[in-house]
Amino acid sequence: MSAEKDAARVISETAESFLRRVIEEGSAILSRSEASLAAFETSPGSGEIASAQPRVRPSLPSSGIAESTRSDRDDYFRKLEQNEAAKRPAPAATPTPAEDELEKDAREATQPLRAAAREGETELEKCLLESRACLRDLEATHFELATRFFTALRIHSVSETPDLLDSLREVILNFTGVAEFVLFLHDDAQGRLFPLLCEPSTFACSNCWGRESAEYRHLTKLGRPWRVSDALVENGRDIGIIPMYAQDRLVGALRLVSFLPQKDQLSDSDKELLALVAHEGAIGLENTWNRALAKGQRWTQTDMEELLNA
Amino acid sequence: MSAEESMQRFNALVVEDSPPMRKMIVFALSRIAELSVVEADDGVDALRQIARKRFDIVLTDINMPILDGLKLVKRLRADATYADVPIVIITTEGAQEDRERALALGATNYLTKPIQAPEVISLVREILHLKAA
Repeated sequence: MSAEKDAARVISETAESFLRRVIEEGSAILSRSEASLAAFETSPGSGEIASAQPRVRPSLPSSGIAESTRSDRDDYFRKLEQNEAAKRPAPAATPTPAEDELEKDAREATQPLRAAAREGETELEKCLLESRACLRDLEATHFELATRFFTALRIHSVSETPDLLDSLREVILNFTGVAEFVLFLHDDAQGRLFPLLCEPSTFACSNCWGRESAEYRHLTKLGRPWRVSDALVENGRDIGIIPMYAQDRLVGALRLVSFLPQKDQLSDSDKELLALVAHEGAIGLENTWNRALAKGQRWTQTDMEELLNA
Repeated sequence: MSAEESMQRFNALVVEDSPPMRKMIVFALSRIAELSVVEADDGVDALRQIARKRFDIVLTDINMPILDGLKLVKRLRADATYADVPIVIITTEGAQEDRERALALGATNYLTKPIQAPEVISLVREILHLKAA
């Protein structure tokens, strides 16, 4: 029994040692294969690596390995080769001389067409840029006109002089960026212009312009509403002075003193708006003045017919 | 609901005491089809409007009677529902310290008057992530 036991132990130890060796070798082969596969997959010229280093199928110990293990490995390497083959680029077909000739002919024939297309594309881009610029200009004009519309609407919708002065102040400050200004009114009886509104209220503006002053002479000389093409009346210190005429009557004047920090000059559009403020503002001042005077009076048919010469 | 109303996915509040300026801003914003615009005369009127409706953007002046624009920004930022709503300041105050004060209080952007309408339109579009028309 003892001899049998000894024989069994020897057989068991031998088998164990053989199996351990098979497993170790197998693991080493698998590790090498995986490393090689990883290098192949990450390399940009993977096809070249594959062809430069053909994978050698390792010889495995034949005895003692289960058929299923061998079949798994065969399967693994078959799939590996299929993968590599799939990744390899297909060899480029060399064109025949006839194909070369045909391609050259086609290139020559389409040359003028391609040049025309390029020219057309450039022209189209130019047109598109011009159209966009036109659209921007149109949009800017649209908003300028809207600003003038809202300004005129506001001036003629207020019925009291203080509200009108507030509106004129808001428009000049917010839309033209003039920070300091004075609105003068004309005293017809005394023949002088006196300050009625100072912006900001802390701005010192108590000086009047009498008949003898250069400002008064300049302002009365115009005789009609101020236009953008007219120069601003200058006094050497301020931005300029704009007369406020209601038709041919001098109602007042706008003395523009300084700009907001973010503004440094009047644009054409600002001047257009100031011309409107000066003219419509003068009419508005006349209207609120007349309205205040006529407040207690009742309208009669006779009065209206007299006004209409009916 | 009209086709125009169904497109209006965002609500804007314009707070400005000067009627012509307010009309002008509203008119400019009316070019953004996705926007529905409500007007307020001053900060108090703005708070009244905010209590009634949720706004996605607020454009406000600074110098206004009763409650000015900076106090309005402060009040809105203290309200959790308006903590992240964009607030654009539109003002004549162009000094750097005014700008910094407004931004420190929580204003998102700061525009100085006189404003250009296309500038306001593109800023609001940008803030609301809207494509240019």
